[in-house]
Amino acid sequence: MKNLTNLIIVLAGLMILVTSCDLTDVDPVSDPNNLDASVVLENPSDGDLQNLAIGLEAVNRNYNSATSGWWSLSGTISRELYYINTSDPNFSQTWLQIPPVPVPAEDDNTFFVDASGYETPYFAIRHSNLLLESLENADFLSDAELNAYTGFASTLKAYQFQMPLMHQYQNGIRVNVTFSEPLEPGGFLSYDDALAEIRGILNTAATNLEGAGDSFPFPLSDGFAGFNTPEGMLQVNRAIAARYALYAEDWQGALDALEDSFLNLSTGQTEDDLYVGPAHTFGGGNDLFNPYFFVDDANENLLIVPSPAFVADAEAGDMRIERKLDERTTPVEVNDLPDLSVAFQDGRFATATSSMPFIRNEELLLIYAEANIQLGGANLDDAVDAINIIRNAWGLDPYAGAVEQVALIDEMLNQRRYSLWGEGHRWVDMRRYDRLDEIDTSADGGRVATQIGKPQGEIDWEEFANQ
Amino acid sequence: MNYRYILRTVLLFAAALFLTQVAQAQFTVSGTITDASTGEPVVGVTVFHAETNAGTSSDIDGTYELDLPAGDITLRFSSIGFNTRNIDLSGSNGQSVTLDVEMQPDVANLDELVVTGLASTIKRSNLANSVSTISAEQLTANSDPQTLDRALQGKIPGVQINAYSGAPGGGFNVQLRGVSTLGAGSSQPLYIIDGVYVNNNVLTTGRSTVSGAGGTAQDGAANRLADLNPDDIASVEILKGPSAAAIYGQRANAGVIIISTKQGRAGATQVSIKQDVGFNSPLNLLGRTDWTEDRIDAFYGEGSAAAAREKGRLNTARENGNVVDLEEEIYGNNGVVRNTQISVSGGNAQTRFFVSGGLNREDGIISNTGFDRRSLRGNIEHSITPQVRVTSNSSYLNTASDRGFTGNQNNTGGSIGYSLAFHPNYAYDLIKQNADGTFNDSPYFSENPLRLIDVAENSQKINRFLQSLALDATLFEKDGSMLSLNARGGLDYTNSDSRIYFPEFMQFQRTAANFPGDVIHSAEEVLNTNLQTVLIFNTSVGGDFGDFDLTTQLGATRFDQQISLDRIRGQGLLPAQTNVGNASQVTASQNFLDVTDFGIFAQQEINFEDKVTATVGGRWDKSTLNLDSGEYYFYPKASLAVNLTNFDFLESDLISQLKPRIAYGETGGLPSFGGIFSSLTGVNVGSLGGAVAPNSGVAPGLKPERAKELEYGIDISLLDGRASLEFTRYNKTIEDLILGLQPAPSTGVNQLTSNAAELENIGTEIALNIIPVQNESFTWSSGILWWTNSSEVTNLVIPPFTNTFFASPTFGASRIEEGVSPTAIYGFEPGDPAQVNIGDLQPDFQMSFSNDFTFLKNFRASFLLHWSEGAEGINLSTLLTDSGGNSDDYFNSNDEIVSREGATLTFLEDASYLKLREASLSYTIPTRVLGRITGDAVRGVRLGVTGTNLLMFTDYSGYDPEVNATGRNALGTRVDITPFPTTSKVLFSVKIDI
Repeated sequence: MKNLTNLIIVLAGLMILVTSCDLTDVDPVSDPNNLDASVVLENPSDGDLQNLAIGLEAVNRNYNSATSGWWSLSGTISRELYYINTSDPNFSQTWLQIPPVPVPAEDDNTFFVDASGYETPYFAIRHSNLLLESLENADFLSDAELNAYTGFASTLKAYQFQMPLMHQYQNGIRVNVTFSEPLEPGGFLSYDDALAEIRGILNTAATNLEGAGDSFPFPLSDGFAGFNTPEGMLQVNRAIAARYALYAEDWQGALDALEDSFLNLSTGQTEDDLYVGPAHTFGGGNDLFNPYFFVDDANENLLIVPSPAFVADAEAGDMRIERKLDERTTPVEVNDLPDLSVAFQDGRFATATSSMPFIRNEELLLIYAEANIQLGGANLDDAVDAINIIRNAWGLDPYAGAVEQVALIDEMLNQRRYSLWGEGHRWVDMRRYDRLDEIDTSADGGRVATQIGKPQGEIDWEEFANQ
Repeated sequence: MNYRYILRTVLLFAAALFLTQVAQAQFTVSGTITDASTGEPVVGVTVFHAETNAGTSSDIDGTYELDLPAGDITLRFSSIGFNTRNIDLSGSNGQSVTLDVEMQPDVANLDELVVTGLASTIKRSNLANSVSTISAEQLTANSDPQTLDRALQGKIPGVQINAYSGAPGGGFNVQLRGVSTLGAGSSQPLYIIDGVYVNNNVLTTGRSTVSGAGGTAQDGAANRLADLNPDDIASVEILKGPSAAAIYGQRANAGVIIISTKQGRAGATQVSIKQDVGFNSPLNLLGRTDWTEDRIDAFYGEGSAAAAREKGRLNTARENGNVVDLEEEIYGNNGVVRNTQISVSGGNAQTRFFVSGGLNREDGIISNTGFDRRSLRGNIEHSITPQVRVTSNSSYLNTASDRGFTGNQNNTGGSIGYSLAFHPNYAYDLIKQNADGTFNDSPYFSENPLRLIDVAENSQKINRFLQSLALDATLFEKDGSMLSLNARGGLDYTNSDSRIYFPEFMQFQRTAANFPGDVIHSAEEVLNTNLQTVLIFNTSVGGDFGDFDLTTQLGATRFDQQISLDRIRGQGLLPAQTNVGNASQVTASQNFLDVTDFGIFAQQEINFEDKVTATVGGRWDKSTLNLDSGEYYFYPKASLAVNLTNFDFLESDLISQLKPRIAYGETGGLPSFGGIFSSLTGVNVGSLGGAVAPNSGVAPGLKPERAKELEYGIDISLLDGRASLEFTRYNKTIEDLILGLQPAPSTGVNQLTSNAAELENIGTEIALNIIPVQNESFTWSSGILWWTNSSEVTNLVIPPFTNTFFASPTFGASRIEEGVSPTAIYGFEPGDPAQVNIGDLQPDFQMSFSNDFTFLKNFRASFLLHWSEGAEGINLSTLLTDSGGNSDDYFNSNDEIVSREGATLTFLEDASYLKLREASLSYTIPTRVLGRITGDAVRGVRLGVTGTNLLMFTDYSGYDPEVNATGRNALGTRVDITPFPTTSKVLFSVKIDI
């Protein structure tokens, strides 16, 4: 009897204990120290999405947030400028391909400090994919809000693809990468296929932005002043699309895109008018500093200087030399580059917190000119008008050469060389027009690489995935 | 309440009367039980008559008395540490029979009860695993260990215990049977004390941030096992591998250590007082350069301004008599050690208690360092009814450690040894304390080491509370079958308050820091709670073959852990102000942790007449640390032991036990907290704050690590307990090791945590215990342990990679590659650009030799030698002392600078050693003498002297081959960077039992 009583009492006690405390339940724990990405992906809140959008604006700058960023890398390869960093001779040896070069750049799978052209933009793409994939689970958004987020994210994602596309060129790149499936990246697309794919992303984004209402449900920094509405962002989208259209040699497509962009074709434009466009901001403090700001007569240990040819070939009276460059009291002297002697340095940014426009009216005018030149015929006059807006703004006389395609291409490329100095275009432009061998390398004795070898990590992954 | 008490008493009385009525004819047996080897009475021997369930135990004088039914009976005399004796006798009604019994010590402890399953025990003679048990005697009788892990060194085969620092308060890396994880999971065993899952974390202090060392692994804090009082411990059981620990499931990959504290015993109340006093001193001082003018020329360059300056300083110091061996000055102090322990234990059949208090204080060999521990314990056991028993074990611990600044530093001068390496002996003239108590700045390094010792603070205060509550109830009993319930719950609350402080007037702070004065306060709380319920069913089934004893267990267990850490740093301090409210720069950080585990287990044990014992069981575990927190992972176990001597065909007087055994088990290794999270990071752009995607991720389907072990061996006991041999061989494979997989760079992911490797440990353990001499005037018992382990990565899915141990590949690295041992040291040989295998962190073998002597009736002596052979370590202290020209062997006898081997070989050293871990000599005052002096008041007095770490024989050129600058490490890495030197302790002790 006692046994049974004991049994009943104790078991009853245990049952009460178990059921009252839910002891068998093990609720999953989310990260108490940070915001867990999987939480945001599966069940985003309004605040989460805004944070991600702000984060996207921030990472959108990363490809150019170091002095050795994309503009320096492509600028140095194309010899429009020299990135001088005395802490490592590889910056000159490898970037300039000065012999002896153990492995040529095109076959170099571990190219020196080239993350700005590959891993960094791909990380920004990853972030944009996180935002895009989170949107799929954000049921509380209205259609307009959903379009706003999607259009914004896809536009910047497409912008970031430029860097790896230009870095790898004919190697081709992966475009269909996602956030949630890092073990299944999309296959490699050829340069042309990738280009088409990216332009598709931009066009879809444009459609999204058209249906995004009047305002963005998230804040943007001052860098997007004038463009921080769906309407403004659509103009940015079309500007980027115009740039890509040039790469695809879709001249009419470029003109069509420019029509919906912020292209300003009025005459008598000043320098400020030419610099209109969305910009990367650099707030300093907890934020980043502008990596291309240099004090007067900056120390030669870390500096960006124009190539001597750039200074020498300028037209007399071209204000771009004065405005984009700062004169030095003494020329730069670098042990690694004994033949380099130039008494100028990068002077585009006035302070360490100056913003950095990443696509601007001046370039749009040049795209307009190029597209018209390539279409030829009556369009050539429109091209000349556009070029003259730029020449005028920089204190030069109007174009006086022949109004025919070959001469105008030379003029347009020359204007691009000076207007878009140090903004990552020269290498791409010379390569598009098959003029890489015309680049002057006498100041260093190296060679202009045509593209960079496929990163070792990609090769390893292909091997690993195919085991 | 009163009514029930009376009723119960009446019922018991009636039952007693009833029983005595039934017993009709009776006789009384009484006598004295003595130890056959020494003749001394043995207390606590169980005298048991199976048929009537009558039993008693011998008291302090060894006497017992028991009433038995008239006729022929067999009495069983059993006690742990002695061979069980079954004695036949007979008596007639009313007769008084005297039966004196001599108990033979059993060196193999065959009757010892070993915990298996989660709530059951099994006799060691039936055990199918190699489980090591350390008794209280072995822990604290022959030495005064400051911490439990120190007390285990050299006593357990298959285990590598390295003291990573010699600082007071311990700091040990315990690795059972080789490598259990490559770093993703816990490399330390699970510690369970009285059923409580205790916290053995290292609670970091931020010392590495203030000293510039970089990374909290270099904080040099001790693991929290140091809070426990070794004198409270009754026994420690070590389940070395998955084959024994499988029932503990997913926290047991690195083994399980089960600790039981002392419980009260029924009988007269016993009071025990122990007072130890002694001192510690450095075990091994290295010596330094004796500078002469010629040597200064050789080091600084003859004719240079520096040489002239140094010669000037040398001569001035000589004139002032201030050339002092700085190593002696700093490390050569004797710290006072005192340990006071008081315990009271007693009780009766219903209630038993054990209450103890301890005060342990140890000053370090460096001034202003030390370790204090105050402990209080109350263990109470109460039988509510003969079937229901509750036990409460409570303990409050309060420790304070001051461990000083040692190890690595960068720029701040924040390490005594590092700074010392650059100071020649004649620098004492410049750096010694001034008459007004201040210190001068040092021209040799960023800080004057004497000032660093005097004014900087590294203190950690711990308040800790352990509570365990257990309920044992027999629910149902009939015809030899019994259903019982065992429920236990426990909690371990640790609160750590630490402070690291560099005053603003210190050299680096004043001259170079942006904000002079640096203080870091850390407050950390760890709360572990666990709950376990087990139903146990014992029954006996008789068959044609014989009797089968069956034990079935079924239960569930739950574990919760919450940790919160707040760290606040203030820089730019006001004089004597450590409150960060007065600091000009304040940075703060927090970290939280929350874990819940739940498991269900079942086990079936079959014992065929003690001839064959088989066990099979399984555990299903889930945890929030797993990627899929709702998924149960299954861990099976099975084992078989055959006692050949219990069969009829093998009966021998020579061999008392011949038991081949084999066991298999699987356990899990959970990823560390945070391993399954991939989290957003904060970012600023303009005035906006946003969040950025993680650049790392977790592979879908990530599983916990899993260890599978097959262990087999044989236990042989000879010569009636005078000799026993235990031989074990094991193969422990760890699968699904968690490593970082690098996906394609275009995914934007640096690393995906995934299951990527397999590892195998193969080892042998041999334990030989013998009593070579046993007679009245002299006995000698000895234990020889020998063990070895080798590891190899057997499968690696991701490409092979190297991990440097510290800063540069020249300082050594480990390589994870198929076919390579994970503990291999990879480095560079002079002239060879390839990184090759140059050594191994694991020793080729370890051996220990422990001996106990009793002589001249009342004297007892013992010593324990521990030999580890074949391991290598990296000694970077040489790099520092060479840079300062102060290494003992820097100059040869001709004052020429000795050249080192070059590349990594300069730092690679043989870390083999032979250490005299413990030695003791004690004298027990004979009971007759004691009786004459004190009457019956005092039962026993023992005087003794004990020593710990007394001698070390090694080729290693540093303070101790066991140390590691980065604390506990899954691979057992040892990098020596000017550590706190290991100490040797000698204590005089008096133990009084009342």
